[in-house]
Amino acid sequence: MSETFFLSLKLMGQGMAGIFAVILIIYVVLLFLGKPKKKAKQDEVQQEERRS
Amino acid sequence: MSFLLVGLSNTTWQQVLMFGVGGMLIYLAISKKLEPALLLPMGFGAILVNLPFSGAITQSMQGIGEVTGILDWLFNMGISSAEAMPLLLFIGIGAMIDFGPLLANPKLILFGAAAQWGIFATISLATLMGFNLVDAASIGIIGAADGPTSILVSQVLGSRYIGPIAIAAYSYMALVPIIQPFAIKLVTTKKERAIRMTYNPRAISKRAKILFPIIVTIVSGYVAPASVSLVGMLMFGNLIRECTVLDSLSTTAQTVLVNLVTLLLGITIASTMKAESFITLQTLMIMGLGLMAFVFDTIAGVVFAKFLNLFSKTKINPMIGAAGISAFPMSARVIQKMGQQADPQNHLLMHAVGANVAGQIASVIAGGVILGLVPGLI
Repeated sequence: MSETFFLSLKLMGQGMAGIFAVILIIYVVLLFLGKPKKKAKQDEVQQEERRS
Repeated sequence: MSFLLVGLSNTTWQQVLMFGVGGMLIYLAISKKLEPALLLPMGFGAILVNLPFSGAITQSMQGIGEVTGILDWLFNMGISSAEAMPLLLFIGIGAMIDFGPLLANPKLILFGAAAQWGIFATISLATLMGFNLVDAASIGIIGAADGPTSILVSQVLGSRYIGPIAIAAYSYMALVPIIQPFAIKLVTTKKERAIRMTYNPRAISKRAKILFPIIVTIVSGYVAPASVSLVGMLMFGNLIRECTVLDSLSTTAQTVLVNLVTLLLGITIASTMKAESFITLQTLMIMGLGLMAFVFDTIAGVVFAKFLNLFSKTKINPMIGAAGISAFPMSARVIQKMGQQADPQNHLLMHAVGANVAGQIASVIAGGVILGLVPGLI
């Protein structure tokens, strides 16, 4: 096996990790952006009630 | 009068073969309607650059010196210089994409990431076939199933094979309806292909659609800075679409800009299709590796969906994973068709479209990640 092949495996590991890292962050952003407004408002009201 | 025959007497069999290649690309574009906006100018360009002493490319003329050819000028200005053409194309592509199905069903974005594995599997295979890491990475990016990304990455990395890579990327994108069913059937049963999925999309606000391209650009920029030009132009185009105050520009970007840049990109890429550098064993190997990249992408997406099914109560049709490539909307249509072949009442289109859109984001991120990592490994 050539040294270049082992470098390509390293690239595979780092590359897929990098892609999944970015995609997972975007996934969290998507979850946040898609949060229903009413529910968000309800959550805020509930939090305020708890505080008071 | 002998000067009239100079061209003919200087024609090589390789140049004649390239006329055949050019003719075949024109035939595929017109008769088979395979990516005509790109393959037709590439085919014609292949003929232009292989005419002996062609004025379309830079020539050294006796008594005059170097005369710059239009195709070389276009290549230097439009591709070598900041990769302007592929990046401009991304504005139009971004304006075409509706991220709605993805915003409505966010978990589909994971399939976009998984299906990029084909890029890296192909890079490894290319190194085993003797390519150095730069050329292997440039060939592997064909697996992004995204023509402009393939051109941009191979150009930035300085690969010698930009012509064959562009042809492979665009040809196999057009051949997705043939390649993907074959690859999917290799790793799924009919019972798996018949799995039904309910579609309960969340309501998405206009504000979310506007914020999405901005946030994705910032996130990608911090995690993978090399991807900023790719992701940024894609998301800029999408912002033009979603802001709804630039509808005229959005329409122009989706139609005129895309068509014009694709046309120029095609004929410009052809400037790299000179017989002496194109008719090689490596070109054939690249065409084979490009095909493998699409097969690996498809298999990786399907296997990832099966993996998620191990932990999920509601089963995902594994074919949805295969739609995580950038070839939009061909891949989504393939999945819908195959789902209905397995069960005529199975409607997978919206799930597949979401995964397909995720593939468009993931492919440009993959391009940026490769541009960021490869220089550190060579």
